Formats: sequence, C-alpha cells, structure tokens
Amino acid sequence: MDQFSKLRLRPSVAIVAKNEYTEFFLSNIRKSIVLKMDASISDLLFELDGSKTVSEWINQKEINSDEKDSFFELLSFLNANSVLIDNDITYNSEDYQTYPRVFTLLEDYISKKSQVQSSFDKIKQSKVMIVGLGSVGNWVTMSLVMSGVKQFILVDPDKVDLSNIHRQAGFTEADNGKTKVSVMSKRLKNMLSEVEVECFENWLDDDFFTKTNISGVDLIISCADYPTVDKTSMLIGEYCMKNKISHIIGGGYNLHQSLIGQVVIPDETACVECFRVHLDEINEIDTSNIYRLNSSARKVGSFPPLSSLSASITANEAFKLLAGLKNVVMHNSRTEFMMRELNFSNLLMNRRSDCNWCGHEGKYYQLSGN
Amino acid sequence: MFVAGGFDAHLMSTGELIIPDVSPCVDCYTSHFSETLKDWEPQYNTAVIPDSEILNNRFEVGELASMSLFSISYAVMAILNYFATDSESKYGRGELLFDKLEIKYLNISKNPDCLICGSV
Repeated sequence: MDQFSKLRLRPSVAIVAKNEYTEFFLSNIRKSIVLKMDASISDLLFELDGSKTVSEWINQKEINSDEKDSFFELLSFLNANSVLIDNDITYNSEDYQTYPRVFTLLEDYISKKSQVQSSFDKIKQSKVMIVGLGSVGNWVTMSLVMSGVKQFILVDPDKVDLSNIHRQAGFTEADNGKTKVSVMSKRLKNMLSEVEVECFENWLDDDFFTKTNISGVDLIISCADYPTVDKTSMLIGEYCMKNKISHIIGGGYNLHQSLIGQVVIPDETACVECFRVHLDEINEIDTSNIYRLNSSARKVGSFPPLSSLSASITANEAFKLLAGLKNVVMHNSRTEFMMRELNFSNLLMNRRSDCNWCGHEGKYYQLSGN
Repeated sequence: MFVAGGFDAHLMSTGELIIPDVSPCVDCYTSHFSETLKDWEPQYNTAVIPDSEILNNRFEVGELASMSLFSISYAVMAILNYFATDSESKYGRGELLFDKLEIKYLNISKNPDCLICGSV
C-alpha cells in the first residue's frame, strides 16, 4: 500500500468494536484479527469507500503528523490482512458478473483489485489436464469449470456403462456406450460455451506422453485407477517433474475411496517418488504368506458422497494452485476422510533429501533450477 | 430434518441432523448461537455496495462450487447413515476451513430448558 492507494472496507468483513478492542472478522474464511483500538477509529474505517487516496483521506482529518503516521500504519496493516482492499481498478465486468463469489473469495487473500483480476485471469487462461473421468474426476472437472477454468485436456479410454451412472456424476442412460471424454466434453460446453476441451481416448500407459501431443498444461490432476493408482501416479509424477508442471494425485485409490493424494509443486514440495519411498517404509510387512488378489477379480464398492467429498478437496486445492494462492494444504500431505470419526486423518511428510527424483542427487534436482 | 445449507458465510459447514426427541432441535441450535454470540454485534460496510448488487444478494459471500460440494457430500453421508442405522451422527454442526484440513465441530447438546424439545 502507498499514499496513492484507494482503500475500500470490504463488505464481507464484520467489524465488532467492544470496549477498547476491535475485531475484524473475515467472514468468508473465518479469520479473526483483534486490535486494541478505540471504537471511534474503527467507525472512521466505514468512510473508506475506495474513492479517495490514502493521503487525501488522512489529510482531511484534523490530526497531527504522528497520528497521521499511526493511521497510515494501521491502514497498511489492515490492507495487508485483506480487511481493506486497494480499489485500483474496476473488475472486468463480464468476469465479475459471471463469477462474483470467486472474486470475493480471492479478495480474502489479495490486497489489490488489480491483483485479484490478475489472479482470476490466471485461472481463466490456465489449461488443466484430468486423467480419469470417474467418480472423482468428473466432479473435479465440473467444479473447475464453475470456478472459471476454461481449457481442459481430458484423458480416459472408457465408454460410459450403465453401471457407471449410480456413482459417476455427469453421465445419463442416454450416454451408454459413448466415450466418457466425448460425453464430458459436451457437458462442459453446455455448462459454458467458451470451454475448450482436447479429448484423448487413451490409456495412461508408458508411452502415453511420447505418443500424444500435450502442450501448455498448467496442472495435471490424476484420478485414474488403471492399472493401479501407483502406476498412473508414477507416470504422471515423472512427466510433471521433467516438465516442471504442478500435479495433484486426486483419486483413483481403489481400496481407499476416501483417500486424497498430495499436491506436488516441482522444486518446492515432496514429489510422488518421495511419497512412494516413505509409504514403502511405513507399510513394510512380511508378505511371504500373503497372496496378492488378481485385480481383475476384485470388485470394489463405491460410495458416491465419499468420492464427491474427495473431489471437493482436490478441486479446492487445484483452484488455489491456479490462482497463485499460498494456502495449499495438501502439499507434503495426503489425507483420508474417516467415516466413523467424520474428520480427516492426515499423513504428513516432507521432501526427502535422498529422493531419486527431487533429492540432492535426484535426476530432476538440476532440472528444478537448484 | 437435515439442515444442509443456507448458511450465509459458512462455506463448508457440515449441517446437522435433527431427530425429534433424540438430537438437539433447531431451537436448541438457535438458543446456543443467541447465547454465545449475544455480545457480538457485527457491523458491515454495506454503504459501498451498489443497490443493484444488494438486490441480487451477490455482494457479500465468497465461495466456490467445490466448497458447496463438500457440504453436499457430507450431508448425503449423514443422511444415508441415518437411514442405515436409524441413529444420529455423534457430531452436529461443524465447519471445514479453506485454509486447513480439519473439521471443527461445535458440540452443541440438547438444551434441557428448551421450550420446544426440553423437559419443561
């Protein structure tokens, strides 16, 4: 903030002045800031409507220079904490009219309207690749359209089957036999005509990234379960590490339907390989007397609200990444929603210095600009 | 009755299942909030909002569709659990914050003095 900033008290902030304390409550994100401050000062903040510069506003007050400095410091603090926003631009009208609540949420993390618009522009211009259009992938895709994403790459070789309809949102009886990518592509364009979709009716196998022409991707979300989530995660993880693309292991966990995987930001967070090694260590058991069940003989139950809950967390995290927000919670972490406790159980782990991919001797360490 | 949504700025609330004679009733919840928030008198800066935005009721809340998807998912799980077990969830109203991955529950209990469901 500087003296030319035009500050506006954000309407979603509740101000509660009591005795010598004033609470600023950011109602969207339930964040509370309490300052020891006279109520007469908080009353003045209601004058901030974004029309005057800070210096114009302070100078019209009959106060001495020390008090002016204190005021400036207070306004700067409240601006940095999203109580006040710098009204430096008018939002793009079409964007704001279509996504007012997304803009209001972004304002909780950003101190200037021009930066809020830039953040939304990033979302709007980003391209997201989603691998696996099933119980989780479909909800994630539709949620991201509703948050402003307009470019997608969808990957899934499957055709819609009647047995998909009771657990995978977005498909109808009339879609039976059509490819999932074509049905979802049409659905997204029906939601918003500007949406652009590239469809790949391919398995995610060892050759996928060499056979297909994927470009300009900002984020890849894995929701694929075939042949296993371990295999698809490694393929996506390695491609993304090579190309420095953020990725989320969102779904596809066959026997852990409520599991939500990690957000990986190359060069910053634990990668898929870090997790693999860590999980191998903590899951090490004597397998000599255990027969592995052939996965083709394994029929797994599915519980749609659990899948949509996983999708909700994955889509939230994707939004934060695309918007450039710093409040990602699923990096260095995977979580499971516990049905009995009705809460999340988080497994935390840090980036490993001995990781074959991102560790100090890892094959992608140098590529990461270290 | 399941109170699933409509919480103005509670973006990832869990809502609560109301089972007559078993769970706290709506009035128990209302009384709880009236009591705990009796000294909390918030003021909002509605002066800076154009009338058109107020009429459209679209000025105050920031949210994402994926946040609502959490509340929907939770509600469906709680409702199916009720049908399957004929029992209430041990948790009532809670809230998942966007910046954390933990649901904070309010632990509101049945008010024995409630004029609707209490013993009086």
